Amino acid sequence: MIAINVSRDFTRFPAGRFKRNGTTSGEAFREQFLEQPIRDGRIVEVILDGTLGYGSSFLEEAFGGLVRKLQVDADRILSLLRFQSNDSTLVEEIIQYIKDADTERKR
Amino acid sequence: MRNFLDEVGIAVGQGKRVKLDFRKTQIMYPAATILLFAEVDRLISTSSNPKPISIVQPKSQRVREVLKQIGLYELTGDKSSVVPTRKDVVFWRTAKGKDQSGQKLAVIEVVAEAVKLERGTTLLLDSLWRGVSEAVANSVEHAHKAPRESDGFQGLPETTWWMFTQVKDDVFYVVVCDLGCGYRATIGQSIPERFIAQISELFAGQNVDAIAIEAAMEFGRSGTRESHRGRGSRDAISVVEKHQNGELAIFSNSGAVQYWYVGGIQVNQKRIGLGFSINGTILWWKLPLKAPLK
Repeated sequence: MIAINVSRDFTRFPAGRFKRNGTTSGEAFREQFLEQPIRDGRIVEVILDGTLGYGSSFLEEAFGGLVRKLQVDADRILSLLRFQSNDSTLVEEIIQYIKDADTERKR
Repeated sequence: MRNFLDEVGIAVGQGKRVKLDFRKTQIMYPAATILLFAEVDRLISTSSNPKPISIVQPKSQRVREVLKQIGLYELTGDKSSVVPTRKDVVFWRTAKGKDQSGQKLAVIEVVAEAVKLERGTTLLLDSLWRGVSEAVANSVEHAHKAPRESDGFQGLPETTWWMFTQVKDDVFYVVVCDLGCGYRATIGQSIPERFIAQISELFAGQNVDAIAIEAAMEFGRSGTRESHRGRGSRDAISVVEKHQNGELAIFSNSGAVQYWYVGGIQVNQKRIGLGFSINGTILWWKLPLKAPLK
C-alpha cells in the first residue's frame, strides 16, 4: 500500500482543476500520485487532512478524473483507494465523483 | 462607479494623465474597491505611459490607510508614508494572480488566524477555502475564454484575478474579482444547454446576466449528474451555508444574484439588473463573526 499525505507530499493549498491553470490542481495531483499506482493495481491511501480545504473542481478532477483518464470502472478504482479524513462528508463527496464519472463514461 | 471607470479608461487610452481624487472619500466598500483596484491595475499595465494614473491624497486617515494597505499607492507609483494601524484597516489584505496555484490565496489563512487571535472567533477555513479557491479557479478557467463585450479586453499577462479580505464591525468580507467576459459568455461550456434553457424560460424577461448566474448556481446545487463540470458555484454557496449566517452576492456584467443565510438555511434570494455593466465578475461574501440577535 502507498500512503499519500496531500498536505505534506503535494500542497497545503489544493486549488482548481487543470494543470494548465496551476501547479496545485486536481489534474496535477492525480497524475503525480494516483494514476500509476492505480494502473499497477496497488492500494493507495490518501490522507486528506492538513490542507486548507478542497474545492469541488480539485476533487472531481483528481478522483473522478481517474475514471476518465484510466478508462477503468468506479468499482475497480474504489477497491484500490482508501481515505483518511476527519471529515467523512469529504470522503462521501469523492466517492460520488468517482461513481458519477463512471456513469457519465458509460452513457 | 462604472461611468467613472469608463471615463478614467478613456482618458488613459487617449494618453492623458489621470488623477484619482480621494479627498472626499470617506468609506471604501470591498466590492467597489476591488473593481477600482483591478481596473486601475489593468489600465496601468496596458498603458504605454509609465505613470498614467496618480492618487490625490484622501483627507480621511482611514481611507489613506486603506489605500496603503491594499497596495494602491504601490500600484500607481505614488508615495505614502502612512502606516496602517486602525483595526478596521489592518485586515484589508490583497492577493492577485494569473493562475490558480493555491499559495497566492494563503493570505486567507493569515487573516483567519489573525481574526481568531484578535476576536476569538474561528472562521471555517476549509469552507472558506473551498469557495474562494473555486471562485479563483473559475476566473482562471473561464474569464478570458471570450473577449470582454465592452472593449474586447482579453486579460493581462500576469493577472487574471484579484482578491480582497476585510474585517469591519465584527463582519468578515472576502471578494474575488475578474475583468473577464462574465457568466453569460461561458456557462454553455460546462452546463448542459437544456438546463440553461429551463432556467431562462423560468425567468424570462429578467436580466440576462442575472439569469446566467442563476443557471450556474442552480446547476451546481441541483445535484444533477449530467456533467462532471459546473459544480464550482455550489462551493460559493457552501461558504455561507457552513458559516450558518451570512450573505453571498455574485455580480456578473449587468446582473447580480444575492443569497442570505440564517442558521444554515437560505432565507432570501434576489435577482437584480444593475442598470450598467461592471465589465467583469465579482463574488462577495459577508460572514458575521457573531451570531445575529434572535
